[in-house]
Amino acid sequence: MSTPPDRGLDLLSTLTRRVLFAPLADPGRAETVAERLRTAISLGILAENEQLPPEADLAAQFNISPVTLREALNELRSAGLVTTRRGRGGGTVVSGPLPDQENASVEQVSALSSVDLRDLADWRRTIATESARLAARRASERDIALLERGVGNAEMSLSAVQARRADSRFFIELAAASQSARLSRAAIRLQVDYAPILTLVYTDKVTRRGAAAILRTLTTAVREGQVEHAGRAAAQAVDLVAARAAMLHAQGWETS
Amino acid sequence: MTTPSSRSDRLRALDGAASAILALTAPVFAHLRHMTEAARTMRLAEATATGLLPASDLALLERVSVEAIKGAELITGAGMAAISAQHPDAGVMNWWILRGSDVTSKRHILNPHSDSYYDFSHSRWFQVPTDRGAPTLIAPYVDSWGTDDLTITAAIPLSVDSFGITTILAADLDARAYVRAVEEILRPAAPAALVDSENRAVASTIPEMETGVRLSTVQSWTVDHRVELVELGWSLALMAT
Repeated sequence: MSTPPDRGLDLLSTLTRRVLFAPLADPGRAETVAERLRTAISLGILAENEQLPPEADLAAQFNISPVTLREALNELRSAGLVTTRRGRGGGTVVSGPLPDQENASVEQVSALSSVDLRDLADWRRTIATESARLAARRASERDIALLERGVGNAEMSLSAVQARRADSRFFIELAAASQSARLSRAAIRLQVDYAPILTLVYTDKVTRRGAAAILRTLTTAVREGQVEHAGRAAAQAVDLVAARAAMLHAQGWETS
Repeated sequence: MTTPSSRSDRLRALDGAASAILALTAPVFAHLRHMTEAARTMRLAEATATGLLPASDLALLERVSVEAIKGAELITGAGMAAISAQHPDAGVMNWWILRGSDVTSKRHILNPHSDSYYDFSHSRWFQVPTDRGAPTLIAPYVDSWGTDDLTITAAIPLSVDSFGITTILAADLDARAYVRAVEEILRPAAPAALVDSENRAVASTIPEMETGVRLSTVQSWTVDHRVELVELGWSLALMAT
């Protein structure tokens, strides 16, 4: 007895991926598909050397024609993001060198208006605050150990990308500690939308350190079961990042 | 309608509830023990060094995991994860899940550089049974980057071998179905709660004592009497205001 190989399902095995690979609502355009794949690769959600599902499966997943998908893959291929081998055991593979995450992030956020940024920050604050409050009531010792490890990673991060990864994982683990499956799913979806903003905000070392210090306070409040305190610290962490993002937006995302 | 039960009736009901709750997961642990026997024959040193289970071992693991998923009603996924002290960054994990009425393999992202990295060796279902060295039931938790849903995991550790390899055989249970079944079992002893090793409610008959809550934060209720469920490291509590 053997189950069939399911490379297509593999790709969608985590929610982050299901968000990025959600079927396109409108008749799919190659540029939109290429953009989604580029985001997945530049965020490291599709890792280097990872094989994409067979073209037919991927086209079906996006709800586009195989011709449109091939067009999108051609675009990525000429950008050097994927390579395709023909024949048995062949397929499309994510190839290096990966794009510079800061440049990719600027491209992704430059279309955002200040109203979009405010809206994202409001939603992020809502999820983070309620996650923190519920986590203070419900977190297990294991949840708290994971949060403490996450804070350690945030404190030790030496680059914008490391800091973004530590921050994203911290807030997803915080949502998990709330034990709410819906909050967790919302936190994971938000990670995808907010990742480029976080990357740019965390190019600044002072902001990285400031945010990590707040996450430390937040973790302590969760451990001690201080519901209000945890909620306030979460809002503070979100607002620190949002304020920096608003400033960068006003400066045309010049991070240097 | 029933009249309110006396305390002695409730105490008796609590003992009955204890055996009924253990019976819920008895078939799950029986399947896990079967998987453990299979795992003992596998080339785990090779697997943890390369990140790949040899093909014949993989076929055997698949067979026993699929049997578990199809055989025990509560099980929604099952498999094995192993890591060695020599290769703490590698590790091997093979998992199967129920999707509709079919069982399919599910691969986790084991690349630490991916944002979707599933860091199983630090997850509770891997660590707690490793630390306890005994069969363990992990109270409902959200399995981020795994099921991404509220999950209960039953796990049995294989004793650490001479290569320093830690191996866990595990099964995910339908958390909603488990909690619903426990609530039903607890009703004759109400108000009562099933409490995990950290004194958090797994399920209760009390509306303000929701799944996951630390009992210490629900100050309007106190524990009147406890029955230990030694096999799980959990307890059953008769509650009083």
